[in-house]
Amino acid sequence: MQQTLIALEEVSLIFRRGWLSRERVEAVSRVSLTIPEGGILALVGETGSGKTTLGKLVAGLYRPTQGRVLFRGQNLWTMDRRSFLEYRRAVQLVHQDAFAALNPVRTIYQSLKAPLLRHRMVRNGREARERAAELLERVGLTPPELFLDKYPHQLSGGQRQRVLLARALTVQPRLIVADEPVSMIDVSLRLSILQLLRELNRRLGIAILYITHDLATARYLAEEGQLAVMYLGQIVEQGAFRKVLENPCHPYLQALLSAIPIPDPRVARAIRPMTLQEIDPPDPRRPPPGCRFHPRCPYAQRICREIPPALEGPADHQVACHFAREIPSWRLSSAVSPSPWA
Amino acid sequence: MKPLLQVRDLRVTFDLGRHGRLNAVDGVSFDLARGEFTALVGESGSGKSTTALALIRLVPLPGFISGGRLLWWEEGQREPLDLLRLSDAQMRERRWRDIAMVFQGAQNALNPVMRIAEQMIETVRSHHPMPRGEILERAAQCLRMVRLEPSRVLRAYPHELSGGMRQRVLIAMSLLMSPRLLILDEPTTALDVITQAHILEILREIQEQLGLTMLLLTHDLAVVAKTARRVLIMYAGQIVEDAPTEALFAAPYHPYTRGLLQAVPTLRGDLTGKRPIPGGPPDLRHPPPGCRFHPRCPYADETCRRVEPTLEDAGGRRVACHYWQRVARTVLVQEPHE
Repeated sequence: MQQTLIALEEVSLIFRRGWLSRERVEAVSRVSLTIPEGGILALVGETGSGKTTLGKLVAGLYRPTQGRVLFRGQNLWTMDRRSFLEYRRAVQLVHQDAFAALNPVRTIYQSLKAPLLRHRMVRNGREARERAAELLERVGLTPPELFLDKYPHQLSGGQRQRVLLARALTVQPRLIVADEPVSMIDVSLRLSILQLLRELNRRLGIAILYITHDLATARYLAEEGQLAVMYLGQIVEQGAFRKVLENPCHPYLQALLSAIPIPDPRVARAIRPMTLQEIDPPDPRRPPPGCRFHPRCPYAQRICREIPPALEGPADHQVACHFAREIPSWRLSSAVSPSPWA
Repeated sequence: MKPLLQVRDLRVTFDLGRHGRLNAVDGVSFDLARGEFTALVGESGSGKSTTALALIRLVPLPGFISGGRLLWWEEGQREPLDLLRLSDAQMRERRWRDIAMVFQGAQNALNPVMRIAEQMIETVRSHHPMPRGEILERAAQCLRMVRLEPSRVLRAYPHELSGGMRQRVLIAMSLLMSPRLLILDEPTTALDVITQAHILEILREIQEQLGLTMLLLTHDLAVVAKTARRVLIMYAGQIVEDAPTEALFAAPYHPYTRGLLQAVPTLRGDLTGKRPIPGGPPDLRHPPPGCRFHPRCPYADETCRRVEPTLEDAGGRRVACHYWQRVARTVLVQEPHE
């Protein structure tokens, strides 16, 4: 059994709108999840689902309003300073916008040198340059001499994303929180970044929290790992990736899967997106009462409007729906048999 | 029957001063058949948006149309009209009325302090004097086509609508003047998957009902599979493949098309054959000699490095590759799953 690296226990985060406003927005609502050492968890949700906020809670950039974030069993926000620094080193966040995340007037080497020296991973400048070169090689920027003295604007989007990963690696992290790392990268190059993440996971045992809106890339990276699906600040379904994808139980996940376009014209035209009561999601700042999906859900009953369902089921497949067992099952494979592309 | 629009040898040049010049669109030719749903597919920087902007002659500076013809076949006319020879005033008259375009990210460009009704009225009136009542009636019609409730939406301000609703408002606006050709630039890119699926359904519905000629720009081949009947694949400012959708997905003839399909992970089926295309797109100021795709192409040889392939006929489709027959014959690496 793998050790638990990070655990969230009933974590909620409430933002106050504006400075003096009394209006409150619950961006993350009673989320519990665990990330084992060396594991991969894909956190999937659409705009406004709170997935980025949850990523920042895991990375310690937000302090939860309620609930606890545990790092190796210790509460992040009550642990001593030394443990906190250790945590800060062990958990690294990699942003979507690699251009914004790199200092434009620093060379790649300078961007890598700073954390190396600060965290005493190396003793001097010469060692720093050697280590920086090693790291660039590790993330596939070879030969490293070609990249060390370049500025971010001289690199392509994919290369910048690799530099961010190299920078995260400077401090030998145990978990990389990757927030939409490929959404700004050309389609033809996305897989190379995902392959790199997978390699870091396999070779170095670094756990990955992959945050995305794209279930297909999540499958590519995390099929052997875990999946958590978020909707309006809550986890509606989670478990072993394969199990959840094989038998999606929450109406939201079913609707989402039915709507994902498939690169095969015969299949794509045979599948209709599931009919919802409302096409557009509600304003995430004002989530509906009861089950947050109920205004759009085709199966909603009175109880759904009133009582929020709890996440229930065995650890490898949990669903938050009052009628998870009653509603018709929906399977990806029930459609026309796909061509090799789909 | 003559196509609606024939694009011939279109070239758009950007003059970057001391940074040189580049052709963002470099000798592009294709036809848009009347009433057909065509998709123009390319990654960022491929020139697809610039091509679309050239069709309505709105290429932003420092770019300009440096060559080609845009032959517009009015119904019943024997001779086509070259849109590039029209005066600016004449062209302005044709925009919205003949060719309408929904720009990328435009759902965020609606006037925030004006109700939707007023914006729709203004759009029509800037082209054609028409009484308010008539315009509102037409607006309601168009909104219903995109499955929006006119009584609610017309009174709303943009911020009261979701992103998906705003995008549908824009599609409705583009239909106001009953254009012959509707160009949509990445109309679903910033939207949620569920919203995207519904908008694609709506587009297909409108296209069929109105017999509209549609050109959809996207980077996403899966979106194409759902909607278009024909696909144009663009790479580094040129069209590399032009084929009916089914045929293209059944067997891509250009190595770039094949590479793109192999680079997209999917929800079902085997993922082991998935791989990225190596390298990156070329710097268009110094495009590679020969075939522009050759530095990334697994089929490339000496010929590809020297000789630029032309878009040649390949039996009901066109492809720009010296070795398309070999590419077409290549057995797929993957086996269908289950």
